[in-house]
Amino acid sequence: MSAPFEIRIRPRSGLGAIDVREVWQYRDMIRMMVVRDFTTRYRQTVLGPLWLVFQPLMISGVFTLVFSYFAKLPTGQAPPALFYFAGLVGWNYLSQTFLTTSQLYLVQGHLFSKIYFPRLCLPLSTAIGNVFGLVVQAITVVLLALGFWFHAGSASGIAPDWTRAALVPLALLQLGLAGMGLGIGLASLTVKYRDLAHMAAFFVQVWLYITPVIYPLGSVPDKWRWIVALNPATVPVDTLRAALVGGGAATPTEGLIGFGIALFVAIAGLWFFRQTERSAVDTL
Amino acid sequence: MSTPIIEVRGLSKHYELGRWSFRTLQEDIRRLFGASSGYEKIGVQRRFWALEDVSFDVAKGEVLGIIGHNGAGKSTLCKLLSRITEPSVGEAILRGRTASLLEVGTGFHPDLTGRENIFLNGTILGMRRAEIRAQFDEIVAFAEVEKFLDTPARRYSSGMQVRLAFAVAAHLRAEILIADEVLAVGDLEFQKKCIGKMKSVAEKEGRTVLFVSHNLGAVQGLCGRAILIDRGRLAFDGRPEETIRHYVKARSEGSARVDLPPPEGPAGLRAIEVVPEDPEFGIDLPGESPFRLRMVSEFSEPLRGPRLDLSIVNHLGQRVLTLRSPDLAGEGGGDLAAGRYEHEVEIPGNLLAPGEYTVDAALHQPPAPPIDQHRHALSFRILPTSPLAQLLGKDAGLILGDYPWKERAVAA
Repeated sequence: MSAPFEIRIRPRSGLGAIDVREVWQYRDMIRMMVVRDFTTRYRQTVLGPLWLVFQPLMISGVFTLVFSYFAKLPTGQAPPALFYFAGLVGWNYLSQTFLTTSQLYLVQGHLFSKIYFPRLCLPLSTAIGNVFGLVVQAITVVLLALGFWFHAGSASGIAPDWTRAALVPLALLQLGLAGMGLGIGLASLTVKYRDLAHMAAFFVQVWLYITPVIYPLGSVPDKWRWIVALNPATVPVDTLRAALVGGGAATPTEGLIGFGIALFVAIAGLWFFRQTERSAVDTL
Repeated sequence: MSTPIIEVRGLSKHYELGRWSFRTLQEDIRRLFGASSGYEKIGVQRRFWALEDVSFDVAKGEVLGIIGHNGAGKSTLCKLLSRITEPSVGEAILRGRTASLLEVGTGFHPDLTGRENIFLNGTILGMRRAEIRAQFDEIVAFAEVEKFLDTPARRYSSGMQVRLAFAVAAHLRAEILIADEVLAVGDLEFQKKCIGKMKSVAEKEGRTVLFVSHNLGAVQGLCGRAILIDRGRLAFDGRPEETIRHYVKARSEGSARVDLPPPEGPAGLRAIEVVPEDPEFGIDLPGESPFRLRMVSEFSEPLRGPRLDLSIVNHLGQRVLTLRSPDLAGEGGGDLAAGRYEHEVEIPGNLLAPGEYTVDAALHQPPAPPIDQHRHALSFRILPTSPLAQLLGKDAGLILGDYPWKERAVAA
């Protein structure tokens, strides 16, 4: 036998650290899970991955009609439809990641009770797999923006913010941390309290309104800005939109606060997850 | 002896009964307030030890059989060793990569093709994609699914799924293979193939196999050693023949009536009983007299066309006699109403050869898989009292036939 390999199975005490190396050893599983989710979601559907574009397109249309045309809410410089779509890019990624991971035990519980693997692989595969949808939607926004731009030139109001574009990877990381962290936290709680399973969808609805998706961050009155900044989704959504069509308003301080909160949420979520993953199998 | 590849030391696992069943946020909040104001005491929780103080070693390359009755703790042991759940007390050391096959087909996605599922399942079990690719052809050949590689797994028969799952797990480059009840589903041909594979995996590749099964014949054929788990404890550890004898005896010393746990599904068996012609006999039955097997079933909802299946299994794990009841709902078909029922079947005397037997009982809704089944639910012994059995002695074979003979003289 090569390197002495040894697994000790014993009652765990305290907070076991996440075995990063083990998760890395299972990276092919994460990859296969991403492929599985993607294939099974779109196999035997007529539109296939086009749903990724179709859904935000419809919602942007509705938002444009209701919030921009009827309610006359401001959307900044960019064309309203594009403004909403660009805001949904970040928001969809976050809400999808949160909703899917929060149902981890309900949907994938059977796997947990039959096979051992580093439990974190499943939520990680969700957070990673959803990046594909985000990229497709971002590309769609770029194509639409190019269309507007060729049509109206600088009068279209589209002015990508290259400085903020450089921060997109960070924004993405922050969304992933916040979405997955809250998701696995809630998933862990649902093992104990079934009631909470109903909360996820409701929570997402409320969350949408405190995130600058329907309104630009710049339109929030200064005295309320700090509340919006506490929401870890605020700055990334603003940044992603600014990178695509312009109109970003987040300050470096808000960025730092938001990232700190996302990090905290992720660590707290992981802690809950580690606490319950050992007993979840016995409870499910 | 060199360092054992598996060391199990005082491994125990308990479950808190009644604690997890009805718990809501509201209840916990109330309890919190109740406790702080001293109004409500937190209820005493009943602990159920599914596994208690089990210790054993397994040497590299050994094939260890694990036998025991339903609910004795075999599955808990497997779950602990495959790290699905954590022990409450004790520890186990595994000196090698472990692949476990606890339920066949888990991790298979019905919408994915066979090919995709091989990769998915393999990576869930901890293989790298390159490893799977290297073994791919062998896996496919072993599972005999060449023609269906690009068919969604949902169209696979259960037999094909079992074959594929076993093939993936058996080709893992793991030093330890844990197989729980895998062979229960496949056809006979494939069962033989699996046993052959496990044997060769152990003998040629020096891998270690833990084999959990109710199939005593397979345990005897495959394992060099077997342990018996009884009510959460290690009851016996030794050569498979001896362990099996202890296993069968453990039941024989039990009572003539065995109460079974409430079923998980809508219907199930609640008790099984051996009823001798003369109640004095208990479960030691004189070979020449008939006896009855009595079962109590419980239906929480009406069920169409249920039937009972009984198998009488000898000490070698061979099924000697199979019985299937007629439609319990009666000749005309229709539903059997919810409720409790008692069923009885009579086994004639002078049929079973002397020896120790166990009874497998199942409630079926053919052709669907059993709704409720109990392996080795009951044991009894046939005593070598019949004149025929005494004449034959040890060479009685599996069944005796006491049938009418006729003689007449014929011309030379």
